[in-house]
Amino acid sequence: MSSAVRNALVRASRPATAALGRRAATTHAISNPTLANIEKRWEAIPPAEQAELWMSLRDRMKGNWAELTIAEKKAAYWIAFGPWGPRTEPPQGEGKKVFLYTVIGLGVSAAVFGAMRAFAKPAPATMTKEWQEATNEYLKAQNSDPLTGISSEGYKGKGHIQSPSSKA
Amino acid sequence: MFFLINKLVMNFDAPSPWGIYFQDSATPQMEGLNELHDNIMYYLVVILFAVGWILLSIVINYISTKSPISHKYLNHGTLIELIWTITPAVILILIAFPSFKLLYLMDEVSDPSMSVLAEGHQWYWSYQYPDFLDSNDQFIEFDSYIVPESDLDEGGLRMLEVDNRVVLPELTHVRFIITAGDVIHSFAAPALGIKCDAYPGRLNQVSVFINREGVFYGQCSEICGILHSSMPIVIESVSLEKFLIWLKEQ
Repeated sequence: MSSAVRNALVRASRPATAALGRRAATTHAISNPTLANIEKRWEAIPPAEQAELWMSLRDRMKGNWAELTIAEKKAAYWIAFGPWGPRTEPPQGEGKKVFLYTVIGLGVSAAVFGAMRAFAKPAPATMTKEWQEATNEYLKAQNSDPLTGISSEGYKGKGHIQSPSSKA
Repeated sequence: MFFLINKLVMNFDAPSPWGIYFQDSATPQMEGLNELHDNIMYYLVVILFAVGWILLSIVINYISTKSPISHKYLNHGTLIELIWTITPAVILILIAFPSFKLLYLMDEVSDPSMSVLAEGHQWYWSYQYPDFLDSNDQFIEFDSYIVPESDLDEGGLRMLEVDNRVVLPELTHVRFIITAGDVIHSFAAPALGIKCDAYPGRLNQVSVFINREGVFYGQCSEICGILHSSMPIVIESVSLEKFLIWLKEQ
């Protein structure tokens, strides 16, 4: 019983499957005039027509790619990956302009920073080589950093010295 | 590598210029924190190089001039997704165990020999030694203010010196009880591995066992107003004999 049902189903499905195959294979190629010079015209085409054309190309690509015309292949590649929309190449000199504006921004920042520094209080008295040498002695006297630092055996670092001499 | 960093730019009991590592530890807690840091840093370095290598190889191999068409229809790679989900989970577990262990060890207050109450104010600390009485039969207590730059002795550390240091005996279990009188402050001394918020109307406690003599600097570590940076903490660890002499002088 079950095998009879299976055979009937297989027989019934054959014409439909064949028709599907034929339909996919015989989707008409999009005419060359429609695709000609697509790179120049694409962005001017209304969005609805763009979508329609892309759907047609997509349907064509569902079949055997060997059956695509050169014009279709070119158009499909250009629409997917061409320099339009977000892939548009930047205009000439864009990089230089960005660099220039960045330099101007940094220059303004440096000028503001310099102006603020000009009106700032002088550096603290502790920011002199002499004071920092005294700091080193003070820290040694209280056995600071006996493991790896200034009071450790064989220490050769500068300790707290980081400023120029006040006499300079 | 770390040895080199230590020698060149290490932070000490007092912060040092361009210091990028920890201060020398003076308590078991800080030694534990040092170890935990180095342990986690191992994973961080491995991850940094692994992710950096993957990123670089992707940039090199899939640069647009070489490979103009990306793989638009790649959806899932179950194996790689399993790897990059399970591996970080395992790493986090490996980090979590020592971290929680240390967290609970540091939270332990083991039968302290003495207590010190530290109270944060705008903008100074006041200390009380409730286990000891002064010559007037009052608890030993004092305020500790920053020494202004104009009053510093030569070599003194600007913004870190105070007029009255907290003096503690070495090799003694000490409990700090920390509170505040006005706004939230935070009592921190990096070399001792302590940082504890000071809340008005609340007592927090932290345990310290200083294992060497020295002077340890800290600062208020919770923004508390305009002079937040001007309420440092100085803890001086001395031998028991010197500590008893200091007590007699109070």
